[in-house]
Amino acid sequence: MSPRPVDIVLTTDRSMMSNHHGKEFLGFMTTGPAIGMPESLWMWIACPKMKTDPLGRPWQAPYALRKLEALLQDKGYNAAVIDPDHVNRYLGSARILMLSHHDYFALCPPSSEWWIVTRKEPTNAKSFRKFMDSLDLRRAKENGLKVIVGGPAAWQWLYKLDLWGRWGIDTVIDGEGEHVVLDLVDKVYNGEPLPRYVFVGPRDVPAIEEIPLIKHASINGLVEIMRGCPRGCKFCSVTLRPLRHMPLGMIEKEISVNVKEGVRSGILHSEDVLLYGCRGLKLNPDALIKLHQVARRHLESIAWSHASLAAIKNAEEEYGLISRLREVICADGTQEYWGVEVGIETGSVRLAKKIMPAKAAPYPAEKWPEVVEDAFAIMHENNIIPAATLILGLPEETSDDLMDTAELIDRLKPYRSLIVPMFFVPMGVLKNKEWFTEVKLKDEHIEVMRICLWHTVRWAEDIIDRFYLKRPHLVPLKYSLKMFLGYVKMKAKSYEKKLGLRPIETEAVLATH
Amino acid sequence: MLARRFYEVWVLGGLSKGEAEEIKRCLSEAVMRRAERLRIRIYNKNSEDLSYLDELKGILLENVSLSIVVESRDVGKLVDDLESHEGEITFIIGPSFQLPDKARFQGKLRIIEVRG
Ligand code: SF4
Repeated sequence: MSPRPVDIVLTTDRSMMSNHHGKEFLGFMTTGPAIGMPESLWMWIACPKMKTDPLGRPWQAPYALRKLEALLQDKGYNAAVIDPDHVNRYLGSARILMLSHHDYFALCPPSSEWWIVTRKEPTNAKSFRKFMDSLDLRRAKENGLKVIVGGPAAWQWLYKLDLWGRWGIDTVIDGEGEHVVLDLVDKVYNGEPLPRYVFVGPRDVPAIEEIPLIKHASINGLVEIMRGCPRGCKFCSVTLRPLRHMPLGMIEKEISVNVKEGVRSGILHSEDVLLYGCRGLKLNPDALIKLHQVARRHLESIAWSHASLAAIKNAEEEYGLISRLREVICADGTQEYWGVEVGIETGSVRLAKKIMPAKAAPYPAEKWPEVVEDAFAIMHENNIIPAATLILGLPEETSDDLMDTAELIDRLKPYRSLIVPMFFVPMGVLKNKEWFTEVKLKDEHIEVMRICLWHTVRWAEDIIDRFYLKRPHLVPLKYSLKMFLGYVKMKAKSYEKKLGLRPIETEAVLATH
Repeated sequence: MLARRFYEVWVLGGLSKGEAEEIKRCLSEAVMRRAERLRIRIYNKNSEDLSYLDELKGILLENVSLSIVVESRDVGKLVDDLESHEGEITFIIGPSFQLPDKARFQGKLRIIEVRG
């Protein structure tokens, strides 16, 4: 079937255009290279192909692309998100190709870390490169196609000028694009030259009423409930943008779009879900309960994208709110647990005070390790499964800081969680600092990584056994993941033996519930 | 956003360390003057050449407060652009480059000459 032309094609590569079998955590596998299995099997587990209609429009697509699609369609442009396998069909007549990605070249953690540890290119970067090379860009460019790239990893193009030139990228947009994208599209339609690079500063981000509602399903039903974060960590670029809470009506409409298109689970997206409706850092339990009640009314299951550990502790200790939210989320027994990403970043009070002084708020930064431990205990009690990040190689990090981190992770042993150490990538106000990957790994880094690895492997096995992939059609996936974990354990043990390191695995203590 | 008011910094003659240092100074000045947006326009013989971005990278990544737009323009368009632009321009000229018709545009330009 010859497709109707689309003037503005919005797309990305397979590592992003996938619902990861409905399990967002599996998407993290795209940040690594294939380990212990053929790449095709790895890709099938991490990012299976998305169902499309005959025109190549995907059933679900990344939320950022859905927002752009809506923005452009609302302004009357003939724009559509197209699955990467179908893009070539449209390039002959398209005027603009727009790309978005979380990690174009695997320079962000955890991809950068996988790359350093395994010395193999992660599948996300490989998949993006293969996708770009598969496009008939030369001919399309001769016909006047413009290529505009953006998304949270847009800055990476500054490190890849050769590919910028080779693929004929016209403009790179770094930051929230709602305003500038329309300007750029206007320029293309008026035959005016495009700028090469645009950084959207905090004063040019859109107000809530300028943010469009998605028109088609987003991946795993993700909907944005807030933008920005008030905590001001120095390594974070999100915090530079103003805080905006999406009105509940807007959130409900987007959830309904997803449900109408058959996506009955949802991810509430915010840098800190528990700050929804907050004033300053003061939690707003009513707003949170209402938000979850509304989401629950439409959805079979709910997950949170991110939450801060301080807000988790504060929510439960001051308002009993985590237990109350659990009652809403798990009300009718269809959902047993939910996942969330949290940031530990460091176990060192000294570093916490320096680079993330408000991360522990309303508790003092001196209490950071205690905040982390208490929040983990609360999540464990309430069947919340966190995927936690640590940052290694922060500027001015010392061996003592790393030992504090190792001790903290050791204290987290009884709590069901995945802990992923990441190497520091300069972002936020630290963007100009030396890149950690150019620094040598210390023994203490290796020790922290080892503790995290065993913690994560042991708990991953528990999570897979108790909670994950229970439906019959997911059984092959479940066994592939178990095989993978078995392989990781075997490899880790052999490395430990080779390096003469004390084995950690046997020390892991699993709680009984 | 692109049609809004920008603090204009135009560069004639590619970009090496000296020009980049001047752009950095302009950026601080723009922040001090409470400008919200900065446009860096590079006039080059080959407007497809991206190598200047390597020199600009540090400046672009360090900035967190202003919107920044980077444009490359063919040097042949310079006079027309100067004619049509209203408002002040900080104009950085690299060594061995000369601004054609300097006297005509002096009123709107703050010229910074970079020595080799
Ligand atoms: S709490 Fe998270 S999102 Fe907020 S500033 Fe810190 S790192 Fe960024």
